[in-house]
Amino acid sequence: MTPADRVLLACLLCSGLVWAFWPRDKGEVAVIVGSGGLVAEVSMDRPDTLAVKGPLGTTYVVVGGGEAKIISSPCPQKLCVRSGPVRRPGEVVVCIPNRVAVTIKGRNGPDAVLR
Amino acid sequence: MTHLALLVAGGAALSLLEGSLPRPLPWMKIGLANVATILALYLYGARSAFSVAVLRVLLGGVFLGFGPGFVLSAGGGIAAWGVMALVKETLGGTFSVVGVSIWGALTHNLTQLVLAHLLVRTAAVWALLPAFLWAAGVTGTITGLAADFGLKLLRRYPRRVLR
Repeated sequence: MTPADRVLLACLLCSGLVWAFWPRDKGEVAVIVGSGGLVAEVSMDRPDTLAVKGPLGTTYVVVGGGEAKIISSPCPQKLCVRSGPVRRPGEVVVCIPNRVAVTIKGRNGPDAVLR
Repeated sequence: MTHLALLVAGGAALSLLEGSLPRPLPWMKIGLANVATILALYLYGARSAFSVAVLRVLLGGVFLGFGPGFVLSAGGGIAAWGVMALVKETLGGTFSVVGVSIWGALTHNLTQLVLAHLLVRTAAVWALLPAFLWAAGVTGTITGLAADFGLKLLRRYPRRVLR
């Protein structure tokens, strides 16, 4: 490895670590986006299950206990289910085949911009 | 030609091998198939590496289907080839095989985020950017070291074997 290789590697690793340990607020609201745009914004205090229709079928999103997760989705690889729950503002879990994204917002306004 | 076909097959075999390894994060792949593109780039040049990258992606599509996964794999694989070829040509003295591989992994991951943004139509996917940058560093280094090892192994053979 050349010095330039090491600098490049160090930059990438540092960016990830800074992001992982950056202090953030508690997540309050889960924002669920489907193929037709915004589906719902729900508080993560109360337990709830949402069914989101996508091109492949229905993706089920469960919120409650301060976290949100995709519990089942009709996609081939189930990466969204295996990703597990998201809790902190700015975190996201996505099912690309069924076009569903779940993001977390804190109390103080949006931490992610949705289009 | 035969050697390029062997590289494509080798890349597919590495993909399969990788599928059986445990993953630290569900969406994180080491991208060992990229070793085939890198070997072709260093042994036979950018044009041959392009053929290997395209054929490898198509072969993956035949086995896994031509869904959104194929779009992500094709976009990432071909963009990574472009940047790796560019970095090797212009900054080949500055970055070694490992550096070129990290650039490839970085390009691959960024392209996937752009495509995911277009497919899911939400900018929320960019929340994964720092994690993807970190993952590019880790996977690019592993792939690069594997390619470096492969190059050293192959270059022990006389030149005519490689043509």
